[in-house]
Amino acid sequence: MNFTITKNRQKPKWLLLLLFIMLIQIHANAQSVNIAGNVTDETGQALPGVNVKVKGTTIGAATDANGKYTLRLDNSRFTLIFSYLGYVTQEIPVNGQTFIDVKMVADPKSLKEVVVIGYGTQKRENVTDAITTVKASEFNNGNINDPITLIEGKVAGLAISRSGGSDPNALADFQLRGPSTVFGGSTQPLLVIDGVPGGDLEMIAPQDIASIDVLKDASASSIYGARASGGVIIVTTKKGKPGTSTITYDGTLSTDLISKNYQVLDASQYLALAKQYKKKVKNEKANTNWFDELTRTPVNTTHNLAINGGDAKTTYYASVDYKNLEGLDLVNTRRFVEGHARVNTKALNDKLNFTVEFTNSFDNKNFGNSGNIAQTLNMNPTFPVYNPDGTYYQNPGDYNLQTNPVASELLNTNNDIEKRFQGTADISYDIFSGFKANVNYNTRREDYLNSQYASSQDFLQSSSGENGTAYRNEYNITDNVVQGTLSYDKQIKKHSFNLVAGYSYQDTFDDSFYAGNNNFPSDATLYYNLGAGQALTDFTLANRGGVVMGSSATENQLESFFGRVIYNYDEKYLFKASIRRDGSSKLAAGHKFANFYGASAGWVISKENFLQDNKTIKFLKLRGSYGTTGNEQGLIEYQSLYLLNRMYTGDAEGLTFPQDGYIGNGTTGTWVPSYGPTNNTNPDLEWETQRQIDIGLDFSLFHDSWLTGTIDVYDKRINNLLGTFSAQVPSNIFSSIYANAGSFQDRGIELALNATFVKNSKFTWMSSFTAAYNKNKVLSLSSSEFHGSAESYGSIDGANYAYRLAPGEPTAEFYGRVFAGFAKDGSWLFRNAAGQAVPDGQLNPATDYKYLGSGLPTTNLSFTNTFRYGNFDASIMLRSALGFKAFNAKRLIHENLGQITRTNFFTSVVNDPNTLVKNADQTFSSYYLENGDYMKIDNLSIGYTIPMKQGSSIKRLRVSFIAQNLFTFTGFSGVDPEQAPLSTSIDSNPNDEGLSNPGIEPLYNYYPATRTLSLGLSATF
Amino acid sequence: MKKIKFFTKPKLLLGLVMLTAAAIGVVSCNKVNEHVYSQITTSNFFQTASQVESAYVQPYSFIATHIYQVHFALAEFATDEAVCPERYGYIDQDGMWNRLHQHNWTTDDAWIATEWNDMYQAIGYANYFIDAIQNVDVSKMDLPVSKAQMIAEAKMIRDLHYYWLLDEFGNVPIVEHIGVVNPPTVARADVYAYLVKDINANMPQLSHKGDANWYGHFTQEAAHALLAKIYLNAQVFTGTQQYAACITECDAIINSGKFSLDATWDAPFLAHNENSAENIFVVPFDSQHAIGFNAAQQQIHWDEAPPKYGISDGWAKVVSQESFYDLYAKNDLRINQWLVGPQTYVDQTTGKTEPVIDDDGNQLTLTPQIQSLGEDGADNAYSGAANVKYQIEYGIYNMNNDLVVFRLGDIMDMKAECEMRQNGGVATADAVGLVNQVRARSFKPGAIGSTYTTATLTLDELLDERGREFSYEMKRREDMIRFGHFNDAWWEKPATDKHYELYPIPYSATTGNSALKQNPGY
Repeated sequence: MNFTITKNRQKPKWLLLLLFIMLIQIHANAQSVNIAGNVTDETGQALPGVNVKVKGTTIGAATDANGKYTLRLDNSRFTLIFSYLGYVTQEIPVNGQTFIDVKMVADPKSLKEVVVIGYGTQKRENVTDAITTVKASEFNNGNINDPITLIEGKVAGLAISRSGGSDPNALADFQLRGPSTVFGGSTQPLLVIDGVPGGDLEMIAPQDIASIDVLKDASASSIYGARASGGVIIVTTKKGKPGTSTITYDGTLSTDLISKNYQVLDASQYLALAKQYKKKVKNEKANTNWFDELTRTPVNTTHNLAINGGDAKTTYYASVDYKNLEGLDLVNTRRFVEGHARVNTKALNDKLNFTVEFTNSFDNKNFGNSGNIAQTLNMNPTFPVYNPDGTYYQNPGDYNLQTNPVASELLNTNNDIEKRFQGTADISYDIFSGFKANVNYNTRREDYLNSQYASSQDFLQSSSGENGTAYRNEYNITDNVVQGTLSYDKQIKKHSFNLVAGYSYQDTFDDSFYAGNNNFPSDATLYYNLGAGQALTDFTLANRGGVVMGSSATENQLESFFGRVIYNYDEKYLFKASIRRDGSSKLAAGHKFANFYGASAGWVISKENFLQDNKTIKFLKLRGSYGTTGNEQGLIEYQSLYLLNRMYTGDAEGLTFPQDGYIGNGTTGTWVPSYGPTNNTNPDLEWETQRQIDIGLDFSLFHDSWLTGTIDVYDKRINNLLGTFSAQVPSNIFSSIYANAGSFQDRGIELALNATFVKNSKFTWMSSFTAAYNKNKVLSLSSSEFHGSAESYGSIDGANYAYRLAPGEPTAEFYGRVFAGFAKDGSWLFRNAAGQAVPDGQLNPATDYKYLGSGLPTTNLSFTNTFRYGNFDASIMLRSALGFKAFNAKRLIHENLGQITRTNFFTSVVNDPNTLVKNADQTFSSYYLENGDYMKIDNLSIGYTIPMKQGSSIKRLRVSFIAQNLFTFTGFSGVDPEQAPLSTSIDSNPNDEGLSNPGIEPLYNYYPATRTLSLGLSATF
Repeated sequence: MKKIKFFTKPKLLLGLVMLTAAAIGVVSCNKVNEHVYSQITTSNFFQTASQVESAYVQPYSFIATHIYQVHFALAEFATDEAVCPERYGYIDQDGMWNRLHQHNWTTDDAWIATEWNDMYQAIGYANYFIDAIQNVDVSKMDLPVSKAQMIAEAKMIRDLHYYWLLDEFGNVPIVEHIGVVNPPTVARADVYAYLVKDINANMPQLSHKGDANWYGHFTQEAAHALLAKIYLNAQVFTGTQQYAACITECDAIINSGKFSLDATWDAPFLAHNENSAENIFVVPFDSQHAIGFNAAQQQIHWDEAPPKYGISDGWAKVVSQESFYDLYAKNDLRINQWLVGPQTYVDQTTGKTEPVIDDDGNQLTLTPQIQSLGEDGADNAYSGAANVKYQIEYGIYNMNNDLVVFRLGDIMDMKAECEMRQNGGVATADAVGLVNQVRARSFKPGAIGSTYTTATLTLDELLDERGREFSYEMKRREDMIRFGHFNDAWWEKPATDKHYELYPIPYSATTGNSALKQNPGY
């Protein structure tokens, strides 16, 4: 019994123990808490896969597809850590809460983030090149017309300028690390949109962009070889995220207010000035403010609606974008509708990844002639806009000098309908572990239909006898790219390898046709009935100048082979090398192919023992790179062949006639069409090449790495500079040739700092600062085709050149006469080499002209502060450019008394009579050069996120107010010292619309500086 | 081993299929050669007779585009003949008109570069044609002229432009092919020698006046005229006179029997002057096929052009200097080539003569006197005698008149000048006879002062007479230099240095080619 009892006693001991443990557990259960919540990003979108960890334990969970998490804790005194790649890690004490919703804040400079490097990605901490990534959360806000302005002021060394002001049809210019070409070459960075090189940013809605990566050094960009001399900008659009569908809406309502404008004389001031200087001017007795008559206060609206979602296999993202923008002048508008869809799916045990992406956009642009705004400065203020009978007033006997700009604006129609389609199919397959094949096909089609109609009432139409002219031009671009890559990833102990080999073939075909007619019986049919114009059939008409017809086509191909090796040892010693061979159809036979390569290495010093657990230095990486790239973008087709054409001549009335040759005896004979070359050929045309060295330091410092930054120094040299240079005449036929000539250098230093001063759930303050200094220098200008020692360019009025390109000087260097005062009769005196003040006729350009300073800023700065307090957020960006000269070419005319019968004057000539040039030609000299330095309050935004009830159908609602280009501090007399940074080619005539030159505010092009004020609404459902 | 295992897997096959498909796509289009669609190139032209004809006439056509532009300006505005005063406060062409008048142009003046470029563009076109036609088999083509003649004519066009370069710039490079690098400056005397040799070498291949297709092209007679011009100015060009050689060339024309003086002074300049018996070489213009001659537009006053000539735009840019106008005697018929005094027009519908109304509502009255070159407070609205030597057809501003380069009247006066210069500057009976023949038609028979004698025809008088006869024919600058009066002071021009007798090699050319040598004084 005892034995049994004993045994029995023992059992209860076990049971008791078990019971006790259970009781303890029950007790503990009674003490535990269930904590749940939603994790979203800043825009309110659910974030799946966020790590939720209990501090000091191994307990943790991840958010599900809808961003939800649940955790069970045994007490509420724990702290939760929320972490997610690319976002700021947050620590939140539980403090008895059971629902903790967390909004993750993107960490703009997270070292863990993924960097897009072209044909692959890399972890930021392993990157060995100079690459800057800007995430959507950091983008500029407001009325963003051109997506590139999303990152204006965000990337050290990337100068972006909106020289077209708030003109809805003007694109921004941008340039990386100084000019990389002149005279006809494009120096803009290559745009790669979702892996496809040479895309068109104009068809992308800003809200669809997830990130923009800027490949700055040649080692990074050399994977794009021949096209990468200007750097590479990689745009990645948003992908769908697994989870329930999320719908977002973003909208803005904005207007443009004039911030700086030219003031011209009113009628009484104008007449008084004429009287004072005994000049005979017309007085039509009105007092017209021509600028006010031509302009309005524009109203702009933008809407963007996007939906995304999916499951573990398939995700989707689709959006619709609509913009309705107005320009300052009466007719300038842009209406933009775009649809975008992207589907990613996995198959075959997730080995196959398939992506299909479509973008389709419609642009409807109405152009006012920007010359009309400049014309308001020319108009005699005593001229009325309308005659008493309601018709437009026109100055009789006017040689097109003071034609009524309001009439010209309203009696002319000029619009573009632009349709862009882009489709991409991308398949990748994991053949075996780490070995992946990828094929990408992209097609892009852009159709432009330009239509113009000049009313028969228009002054130029009626005076020339054209009596209504209609014109249409259809221009198409068809671009196909096939790219294939094989990649292999392998980790052997601490050795990590990534190998890529690839092939790319691109074919671009442009074709156009156009037709025009004049002498229309009615203005009502505009350009919709070209055949109705009588000029085509009525051969007796004096003016058939509107009758035109033509078509053309060009094609070019680019074939490339490339390969890349990336290696690191323990993420401490980093190495990368790439090679690319590019062949272009545009180059001369025997010169079509060239090789480009890059190599870079990095050392993560902070991983060495001596810096491990350092309290100050959390991360420190030294990297260096060397690479070569080419310039394919600026190449013109067929320049190694003679292109023949029939000779035509335009006459003084604007009519074009064939210039035929006569064969006969005087009385009987024939006129034979003349055909001759139209270009100088260049049988030696070859690649322009660039080589660049870059040394950089990436660091993050202090507690929580609150200060991160990057410093880069670089030296780039461009050889065989491609462009349209002065040709030797003789033996060339023409005075310019498309040639390789000389070399130049850009050297600079860039600094980017990001600081998180305060970061807690109530208040956040982050700052970023960028500074870039670039020194550009021409090293030589000669080659086998071009033998020049120097070259003048940048003609202001057909006679004056503003710049000169010469060894030892930067590009866009002003050059010419040195102002020395005025003679007694008011004529110019200039300084000669001996230091004497002499009249112009005694000046010898070869010895007396001087280099007067560059129009390119040497230094660009930006400083952004963002704040978040509770539901309020705010950001302010300051931007500055320093170290350059600016030339307000309008002063040549509007301060020159000799122009009084054809222009009005700036009020400056009344306020300060010394500014009136009284008896001198419009000659460019140092007299007109001003300091161009400026500082702008470029973007100010204030937002409020309206608190939503849990479970509300609207997950997030934010309203904002944004001011762009709010204020400019500058001493420059023009409307805005910020001119195009030499990103497009230097045009021989800076007065052409859309092209301007660094530091020159053009003579005939004028768009006032405006500040854009916007109200924004964004909502997530 | 591992490889074999993987290759047997179906999923790997899929990968291979993908890669193969990509490779096929790639191979099928991997060409980076230029495909020409809408362009005409040397290799797809020169295939038919009409294409060859089109290339052959092209250098001629180009002359028509530049001769009445900057070339006219440099030949006339730097002399005492024509001027473009400032009007309504408007200084045209960045003041270039005035700098030409006052001889203070610089190496950086755009028009000088334009002239240089125009000359070598014409030479480049000729060189292109000469080289391009060499390898073309024309044997099966029905061409109006032989290949040898086409090449010889192109070379003569080249020589005409080298003559103009010799005259204007003096020391210039000579190129016969495109692609020559760093062509050096050739001394003026050597350019002269090159021309004499080249013209003589090409002469036999040229046609004669009266042959089919001679008009407006380089004939043997035109080549003689060009040689005569070069010999006439040999003293200036080389420092050695060649008057006997000049007379030989003049005689080749005069004695050819193919030319005679027109009956009236203005017959060579009529709108349809193709039947002139006097013209040797002209640049054919046509209001529809070959425009570029817009003398009416340049010269007629804006108030007068519409009612009188049916031309909507008159610029009144080019007017004559008063001193030049005053060279004409009142009874000299050639004075009728000027519009001066109260202006009238014949109404096209009523046939009545009406006054031309000016900007101020009065009858337009043009004065030979010009207040000033610049304005100085006054306006030059109605100043200056306007030239209508070339007949203006009503309503036609792109004129049909063929521009005269060489004509018999000039050849006769040249021969007379040579005889006088060989005679110590004193007129001979033969010289007086030649000049009087040309002059006679400009006066009513027996008019006072209509004929010269060996006593009255001095060299200075011959310069004046050449001025009267060849006004606006782009000869004045060369004549004034040869007679030693180019550097004199006139109207608003001070006496100027001798180095202005040559234009400078343009700044753009010297910086583009280090082998070019600037002319002395610049």
